[in-house]
Amino acid sequence: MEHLENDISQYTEAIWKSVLGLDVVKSDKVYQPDNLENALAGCVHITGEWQGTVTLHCPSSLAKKVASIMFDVPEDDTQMQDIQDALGELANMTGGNLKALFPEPCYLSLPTVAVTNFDLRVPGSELVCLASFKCGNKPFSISILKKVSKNGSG
Amino acid sequence: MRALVVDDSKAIRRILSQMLSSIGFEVSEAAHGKEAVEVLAASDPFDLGLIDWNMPEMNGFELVCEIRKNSKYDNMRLMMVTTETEMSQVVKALEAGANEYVMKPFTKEMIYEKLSLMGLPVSP
Repeated sequence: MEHLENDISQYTEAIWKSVLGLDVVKSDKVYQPDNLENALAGCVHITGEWQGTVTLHCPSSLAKKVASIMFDVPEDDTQMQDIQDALGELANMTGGNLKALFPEPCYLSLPTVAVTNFDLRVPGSELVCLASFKCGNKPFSISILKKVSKNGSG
Repeated sequence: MRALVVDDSKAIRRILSQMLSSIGFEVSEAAHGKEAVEVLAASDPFDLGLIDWNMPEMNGFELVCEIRKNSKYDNMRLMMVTTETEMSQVVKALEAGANEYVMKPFTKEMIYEKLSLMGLPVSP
């Protein structure tokens, strides 16, 4: 678990730095969406020898910042479609890199992005690792959920 | 020099297009393999294709196979730019006719280094 959390940290820091030029730091405070601001969740599913989901959950203000950097426009000019595109691609990169930790062959789905003020639920899956971060003063989290087989063996 | 950037993410297409434009490439974009095939058919030959793997309609691997079936595109260098990190996938893409392979996240330096390796200019 701790090993996986370290891998998530390593990949996340590298992705955010190289794609966005932003420093992110690990946080002990778990990100929980609140009523003050919408939250977005980008996720990719992994199938094959290992089956599960990788999600990136963040407040809309951080997603907007991500989109403004990737599209090189002021934050106030970002469109929801572009925000979803940018967050989906970050989730895609995160899932793609984490996929390397699982047994081959594994296949990555196309990313999906949802606006939700609740925790993202993936039916039939259980949380195996959650890592929380801060980018400036904005929190976000990366989680790995593993598909649970009907006999419960995973 | 002309380049075709194929990625279902508009953000990635914009970033790659900007990297290539800044070193003098004339860049066209497509959001998936099927659209790329249409752009290729309607345009003069391209010198370079940067191709994502996971895309709707037609994925990047299928696109590489499609391009390499046509001798008209023999001089077009193809580089996969993708989150597919498994070595078996890298080998599969190279065997199908891709010239280079870059894993996301990428930097400008990584892209330019691969262009150099393919004998393409990296200064405006």
